[in-house]
Amino acid sequence: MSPDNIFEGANESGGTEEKDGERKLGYGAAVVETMAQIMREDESVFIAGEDVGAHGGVFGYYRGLQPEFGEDRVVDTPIAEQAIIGLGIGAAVQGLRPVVDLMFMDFICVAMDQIVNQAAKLKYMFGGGAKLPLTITTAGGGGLSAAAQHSQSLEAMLCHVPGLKVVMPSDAYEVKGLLTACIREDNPTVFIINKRKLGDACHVPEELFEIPLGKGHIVREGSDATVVAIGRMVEEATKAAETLSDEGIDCELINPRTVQPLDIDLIVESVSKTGHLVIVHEAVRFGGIGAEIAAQIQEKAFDYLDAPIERVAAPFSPVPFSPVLEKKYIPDAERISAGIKNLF
Amino acid sequence: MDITDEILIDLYKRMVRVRLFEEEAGRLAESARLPGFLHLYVGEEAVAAGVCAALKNEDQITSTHRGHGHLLAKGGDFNRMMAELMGKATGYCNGKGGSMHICDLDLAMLGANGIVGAGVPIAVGAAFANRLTGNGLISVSFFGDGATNIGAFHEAANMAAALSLPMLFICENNEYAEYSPRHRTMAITDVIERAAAYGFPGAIVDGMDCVAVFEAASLAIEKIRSGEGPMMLECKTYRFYDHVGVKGTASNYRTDEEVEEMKKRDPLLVHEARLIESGVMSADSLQAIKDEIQKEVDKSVEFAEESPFPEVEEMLLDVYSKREPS
Amino acid sequence: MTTVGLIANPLAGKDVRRFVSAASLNSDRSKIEILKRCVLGAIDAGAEKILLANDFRNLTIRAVEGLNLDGKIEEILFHPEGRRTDTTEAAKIFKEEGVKSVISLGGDGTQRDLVLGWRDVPLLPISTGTNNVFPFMVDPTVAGTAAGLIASNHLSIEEVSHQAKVIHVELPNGSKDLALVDVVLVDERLTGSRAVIKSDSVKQVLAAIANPACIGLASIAGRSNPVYFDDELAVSVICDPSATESVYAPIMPGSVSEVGIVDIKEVQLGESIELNGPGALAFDGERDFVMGENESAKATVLRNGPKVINPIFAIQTAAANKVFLRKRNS
Ligand SMILES: Cc1ncc(C[n+]2csc(CCOP(=O)(O)OP(=O)(O)O)c2C)c(N)n1
Ligand SMILES: [Mg+2]
Repeated sequence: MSPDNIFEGANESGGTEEKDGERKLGYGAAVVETMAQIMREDESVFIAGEDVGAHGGVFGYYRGLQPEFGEDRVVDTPIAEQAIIGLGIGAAVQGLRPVVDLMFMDFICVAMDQIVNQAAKLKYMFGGGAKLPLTITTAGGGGLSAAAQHSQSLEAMLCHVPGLKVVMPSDAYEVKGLLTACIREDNPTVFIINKRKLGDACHVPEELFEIPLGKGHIVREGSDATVVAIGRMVEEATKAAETLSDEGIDCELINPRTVQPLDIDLIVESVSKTGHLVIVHEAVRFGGIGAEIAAQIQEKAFDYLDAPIERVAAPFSPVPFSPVLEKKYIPDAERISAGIKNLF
Repeated sequence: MDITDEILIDLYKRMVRVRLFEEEAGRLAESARLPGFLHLYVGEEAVAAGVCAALKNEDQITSTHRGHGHLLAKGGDFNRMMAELMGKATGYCNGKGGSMHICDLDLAMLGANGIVGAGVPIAVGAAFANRLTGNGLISVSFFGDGATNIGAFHEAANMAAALSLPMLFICENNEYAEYSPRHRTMAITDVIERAAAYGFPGAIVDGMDCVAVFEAASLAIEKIRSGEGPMMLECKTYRFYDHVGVKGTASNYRTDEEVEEMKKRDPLLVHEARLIESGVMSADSLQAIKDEIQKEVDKSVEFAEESPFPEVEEMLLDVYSKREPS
Repeated sequence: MTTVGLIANPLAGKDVRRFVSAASLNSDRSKIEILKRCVLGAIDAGAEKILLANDFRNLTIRAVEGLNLDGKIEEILFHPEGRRTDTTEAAKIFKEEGVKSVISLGGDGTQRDLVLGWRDVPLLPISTGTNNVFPFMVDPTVAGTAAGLIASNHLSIEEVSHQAKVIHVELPNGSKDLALVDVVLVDERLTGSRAVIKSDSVKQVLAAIANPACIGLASIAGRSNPVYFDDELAVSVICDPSATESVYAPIMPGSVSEVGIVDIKEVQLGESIELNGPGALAFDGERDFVMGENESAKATVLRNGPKVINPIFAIQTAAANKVFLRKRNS
């Protein structure tokens, strides 16, 4: 993909299409549609971030908002990640429902104090007084040769911070349902958009709906092994599960949808049925969400396990630039299949 | 600081090296032969050329996401550069960094940077080391107008001033940060007002004129080297291509007329006219320089294409340094 | 209509001389504040209209934001491009519009650009540049009042202004240029960053005003052989680093250099002086034209320049005339 296409990705997938009587919507387009519908119904919602207004976001998924809602509610900010989050926090405490955008997930590091020490803790430190209906949107994930500072998956860092909720939609349907839930939520949420999914379309209802935060989803039922996959890895794990079912391994695929809070009960239930667990994520393996899930499963479902828990994740290095290295770096269906087979 | 014929020609070569390499990289990106993001420096060559020509080889520079020009103007190698853009093992970063992270420590180029503003504090550190070791060197940080809106810049500027470090701040004010015009994201027009706020001198220069930049940078560098503390030079410049890649994007954040108007001030044309007018070089010899450099660029494409990709085993190399046996 | 023209050069006081001397930065904000005080002073003194020359920073327009001056502010129709010629173009329009007095913010270079567009402009120049031989350091409220009193005919321009000398220069390419303070030949082959920084590059100074108390290249002449604003004379000084005689002169703020002097000559008004190449000609401090080996420029000083309003003198005259005493409506 040429660089221009990367930034135009959402736009290419932007439209809705009617197929087999089902309305299909692109992953990026689902962001715009949801934002527009929510902003129409709730005047306290606004969005601020770098180039989200006149340009419609560097990935195009805010395109059309500023013409409809004006510069006061679709705000182009200076390059100032700390102040962008602070703007959201202050406005949220004042009763608005801000959506603030950090473009690439890597840039949360620039704003870490505002996210970790302020947004996450205000309510608690104030003895419960403050309410923070704040949504932080940001694009994570690799696969575009964007190198080490534009490709990271840093969700585990955020999940480690009490007070934040962390959401990772795996398709356009979840984008709509989860983004709606995030914006209506009274706590700070980080909504992680996967930049490689922008062009993918699926069925998405026209009207607003919510997918509850903290509730996972069984993508595929199965009896032999439980596969927990996060974000874009759901797509890769689905492919793996299909391949393996031809080989006689019947996988149950779980998509947690939100990683903080985590729907551990759903995973426990599944593992107690299959006796095998594989966890898949794009982030590095060490200290990733997989480590947390594995720990909780051995606490809650140790007796059901027939084999050690397997994790398929990125190796412990920054994301490499060269496409040949990056292809090996990010887990894919093949590596997931291999991981599952390891259990047997 | 007499501007000799040699300096005038040297400035020209530095600019042509950047221009021709980048035009080639742009073509390769357009035809999807380069992976990743490419931020082209075309239009801003006079800044890198003018500043780097005024530096000692050992003076450190930190750069930006738009960093090819800085490395090439400091003497960067076409082959290793092109190979890096293609993600090859022979590249400057062994294929691990790409366009946004090219660096050459031998040339004291401490890296392009994917994080806006992040190079500025790093240059403060280099300046600090220079003073502590008394090596007589200075450090230079190149950064955009947009970068001066981020905290890292402000912390660095204040610290450099408070510690009175030998550091030159070079603002490449091309009037845009991505697709946002400067006037929408700051209430001042001249970034040097920010230097004044931290208590060090700043001056504006025509960033489309390599001689003006060279002269101004030389003046500042002389003072900085003699211990007068940091200074800022704001170069008013313009990028001819889009923020990323070559062709324009969907939103009309700037008009074609504006771009065409600025292209009339193309730093290469400005300097070529001067070289010819003042009799330093003929049009033919200028063309000969370009032909020569274009050949090198072509060779670098061949070199890069023939180079191997890194081995997968190399992925986990260089995450940490190994302690060297003493 | 009793109109005051208002113009500011956004780039004045921002060039490389801030590196090599103690020149200070003149920020846009400080210029806006000066402009605002000028406007208020002028309106208070009875100006019916302030005609703003817009600039590419909108300094003048930002200066009147929030001032409730119902209908007294007007902008000239004009598209500034961020070049020197903006000032010159604006001056032409001021002239066409019959403006009674012009307040102009900048250094010597800015005033020169203005005079290029309106040679005998009734001018109250305020200093916001680096070299400020010509413009006044004065409280802007007072300056605004002075300009307003003239515009509103409370003072006559003849009474409170003095016409300045102009150095008219014919360049080797046949075109004409001018300077208000000095034309200097420097041993440079390029205009580069424009400012003249090296004292030993100075080959010749022709100064219409050579005040020993001034800053800039004219101080070389001023400290060798002073010539004042009202003197019907100019002075030419030939310089050479190897000369046996020298003068110490502050060619930039806070930066005094020794300049070798070969010859000092008083020049009569109307007399022509040659400045012989090679070298660059700097007009009021800025390198602007490069001459080759066999080229030369011809300079003539005449007293046909702007009518310069001395704001202090104007205010004192007004006070002596009891202009400020008004009847109260009870
Ligand atoms: C911390 C951070 N925020 C945002 C970005 C995305 N980004 C990349 S370049 C850029 C604009 C930079 O503008 P400027 O500093 O003026 O440099 P220019 O691109 O004009 O050379 C932005 C916002 C980033 N890379 N890092
Ligand atoms: Mg910029």
